[in-house]
Amino acid sequence: MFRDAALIAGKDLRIELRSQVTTQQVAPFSILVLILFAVALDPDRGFLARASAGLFWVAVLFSALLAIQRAFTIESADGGRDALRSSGLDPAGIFLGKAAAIALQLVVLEAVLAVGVVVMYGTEVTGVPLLLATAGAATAGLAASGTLYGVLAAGLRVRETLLPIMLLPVLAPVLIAATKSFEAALGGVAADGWPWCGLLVVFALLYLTFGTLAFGTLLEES
Amino acid sequence: MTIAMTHVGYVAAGWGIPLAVLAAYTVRTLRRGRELAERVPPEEHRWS
Amino acid sequence: MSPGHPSTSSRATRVLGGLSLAGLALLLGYALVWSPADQVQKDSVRIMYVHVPTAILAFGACAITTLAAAMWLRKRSEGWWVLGGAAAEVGLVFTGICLITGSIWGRPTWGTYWDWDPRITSTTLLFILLVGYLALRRIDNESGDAAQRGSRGAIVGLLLFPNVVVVHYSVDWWRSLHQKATITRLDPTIEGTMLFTLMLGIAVFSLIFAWLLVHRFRTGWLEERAEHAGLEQALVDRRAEAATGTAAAGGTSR
Repeated sequence: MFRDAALIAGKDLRIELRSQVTTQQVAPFSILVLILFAVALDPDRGFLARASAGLFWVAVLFSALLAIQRAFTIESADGGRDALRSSGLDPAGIFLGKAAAIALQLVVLEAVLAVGVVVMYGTEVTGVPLLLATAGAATAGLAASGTLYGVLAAGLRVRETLLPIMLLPVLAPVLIAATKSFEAALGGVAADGWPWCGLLVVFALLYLTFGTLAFGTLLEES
Repeated sequence: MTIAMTHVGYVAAGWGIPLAVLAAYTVRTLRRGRELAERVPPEEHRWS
Repeated sequence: MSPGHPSTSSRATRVLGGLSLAGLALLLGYALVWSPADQVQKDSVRIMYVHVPTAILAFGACAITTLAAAMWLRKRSEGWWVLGGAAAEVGLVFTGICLITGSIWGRPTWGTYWDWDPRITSTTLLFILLVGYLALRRIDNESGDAAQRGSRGAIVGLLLFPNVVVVHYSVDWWRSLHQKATITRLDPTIEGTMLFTLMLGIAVFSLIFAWLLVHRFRTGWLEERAEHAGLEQALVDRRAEAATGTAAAGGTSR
């Protein structure tokens, strides 16, 4: 299972390295979102810095949607999905592999956004261990649930519009928990953030387990 | 009968809107059911 | 509804419908006339007799949808598939009513139509979750073939209730840091006629819910049948057309 996962993750990341869609399109988009927030809200630095935890995660969520769509369009061309289905790879492995590839791209995006928030919003970075743990758990949850809902929508004519409406309400707990945890790390007491981080871990485990079990059924029909 | 009630408008809306929504949904469902029941042969209506 | 006319009614639904209407009349009497006004909320408490039952049933509908999805994944029988959609659709109507009544009640009580109360937030998310689920099912339905479709909708249906629970508790936890949950704002010493009216409301709206669910289930069942019938009829027509076409062609050319 894990060897299949590594195979799939390697394949997706190689495609990504060649096409550079994440670095050349999704990452600039995420920075654009930060700029739009500054325009929409009062770009008075104090306010943006105070809200930066939430704004950061909303930007991550929007960028994640693009990355997830992208992860499943690379297979829609040339009957890639049929090839994947008949490849004899373990569906659980395919799920974990795709999720891992998405997670890695999300980490890159989060790094870009973190620099953006620090530079443009003037956020002071404190509580680094909590920040890293939160980002890790949230990324795992985003990648797992995104992969699951991504394959559901893949292959449908209306996938671009259907995926956000199905996935974003599901991700509301991730947004809440990650924001709260970041707020605790950046401004408040770090100890307040750890329970939220725990919630993120639970969410990630839930979707990783469910996806591993259900992916076979879904892949057959997408 | 005298109406000695506070928030009369809110109470009226709070009951009127739900009942109207439910009535509209009921009518829609029953109509659609009838329409379909005519198109589908009666032996498929397991309930009658 | 004449018994001879084809419809989704049966004796059971007529009884259920009659009970629902009679119960509703009784409930209106209790909710609007015979029950006293609340000391704090005054008469706006009367909206609660709609709001609370619809909220409970909205969450109940999600549970039914998830159950139906799980059963469908095990048995793959059409009934469970139809039930999942029927429960979600009726649930959507109840969720909508719950949001509207909550908002109307909030205005005189909190002074605002919308408050970032944990329950409003999580119910709104529930509404959108249901909309997404129904949208996905509609696509599944369009892609034809009952045998092939489904896992997609069933997986989302299966996740519906767990998602609702996770969303509910995380939102609750999020907001509880700032303010107390709604229930403590209601008079906790609810008693006597008011409590009876609330219980009656839950019972009556459950009847209405069940009545609508049965009708919606049967309509969904007929939709499936109509698709099959339509397909078969189209095939018959096509064949007949082909037969007369060749006959006509044979008649003129040879």
